Amino acid sequence: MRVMEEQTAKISNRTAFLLAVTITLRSMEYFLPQYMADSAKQAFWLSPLFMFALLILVFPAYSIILKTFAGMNPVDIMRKVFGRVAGALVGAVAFIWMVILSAFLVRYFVEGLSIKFYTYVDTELLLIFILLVIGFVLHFKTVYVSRINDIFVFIFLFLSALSFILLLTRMDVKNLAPVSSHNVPSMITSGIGGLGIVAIGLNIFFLTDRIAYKKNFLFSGVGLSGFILVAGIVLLLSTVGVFGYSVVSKLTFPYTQSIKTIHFLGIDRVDALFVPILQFIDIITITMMFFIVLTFFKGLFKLEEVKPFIWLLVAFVGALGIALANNFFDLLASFREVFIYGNIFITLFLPLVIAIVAKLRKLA
Amino acid sequence: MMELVIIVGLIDVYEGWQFIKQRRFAWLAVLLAFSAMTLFLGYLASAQDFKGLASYLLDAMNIHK
Repeated sequence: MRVMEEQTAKISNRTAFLLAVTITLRSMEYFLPQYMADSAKQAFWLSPLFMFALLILVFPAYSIILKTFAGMNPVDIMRKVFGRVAGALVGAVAFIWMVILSAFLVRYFVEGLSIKFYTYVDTELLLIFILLVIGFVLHFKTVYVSRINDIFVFIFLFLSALSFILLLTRMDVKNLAPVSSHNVPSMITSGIGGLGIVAIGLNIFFLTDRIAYKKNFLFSGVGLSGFILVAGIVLLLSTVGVFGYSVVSKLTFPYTQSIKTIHFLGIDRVDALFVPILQFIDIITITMMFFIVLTFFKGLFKLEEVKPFIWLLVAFVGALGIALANNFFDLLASFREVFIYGNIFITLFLPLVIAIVAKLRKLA
Repeated sequence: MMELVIIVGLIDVYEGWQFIKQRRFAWLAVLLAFSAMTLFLGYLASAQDFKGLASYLLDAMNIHK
């Protein structure tokens, strides 16, 4: 019975990857078209290839960490690998980063709601209501929340695929050319930047104490990278390919704005079909980010329980979200200049370093 | 800012009292430290000439939006 309870309290391999699919695809829909249109110009549709090539390298590191340190808190893993003081220091940096990233995502989501749908509603009021919902959900176990995603991910994937197909019919081949060898440097830099966007979804693998490791982890990782490659190219073709890079680089929410233009069998405003599920997926994304923050908090302060601190962290992240920027454009600029590189460093580079040091010290 | 003070105050009173009852004074210290930081951020954000933390950071990095 006990063993069964322990098994059910863990996030299975499948659930973890489905969560990564959801969060990655949603963050790509939010940030990728505009970023690629701006940085890779007309070669935008080739950039995901570089993302794929670099992403493949990260999954062996996650695999080593999850296999060797099964059931351990990420900060405890860092303490074990880097030593007590250095590990706690790295853990503190990662924790601070996760808090800032959560604050950014909450603020971005709220600004999105305010710009797209609730134009006359005060942003801070929306923020408080959304944080109230998230704070309430955080009192449940991570496993239960992640299993909700098991159901919704397929609806989300179906709707995303539908929107991509409907948009692709209007793609203009003129927007995809000319591409020459001169575009290669910008394709590489934008591909690396794209990794910073995808990394938001890969943060899920920091829940090392909840994810149950299985042998097929590496195989699933390659599958996820392949999904990111295909979804990235199709998403870019259906947004930048339809409107051209110069238009998309000036839009605030390219994906949402392009699904607003869909006409299907003479029906307009098809986006009403997508909006509720997309908001729900956003809530799942932010809730999972908060779970990661709480996991780091638990490890950093060596707490046996984090429930008493949930509302405190929610209020802190909310206040940080408000203080982060005065307007949406600062927020967007900070994402391009700071958050992308921070994500690459903490989510992709740090696990690689942990895995390499663990191997060198013969811990793994 | 006023809303933030009320929210943080309510959280502190409720959770703080639980910690005092359970004699978890280290947890109480963490609670108060985070509350102080939350209120400080709220105070910063409500200042008239405050441009936003991201904006100051971009200025410091000499990035023109």
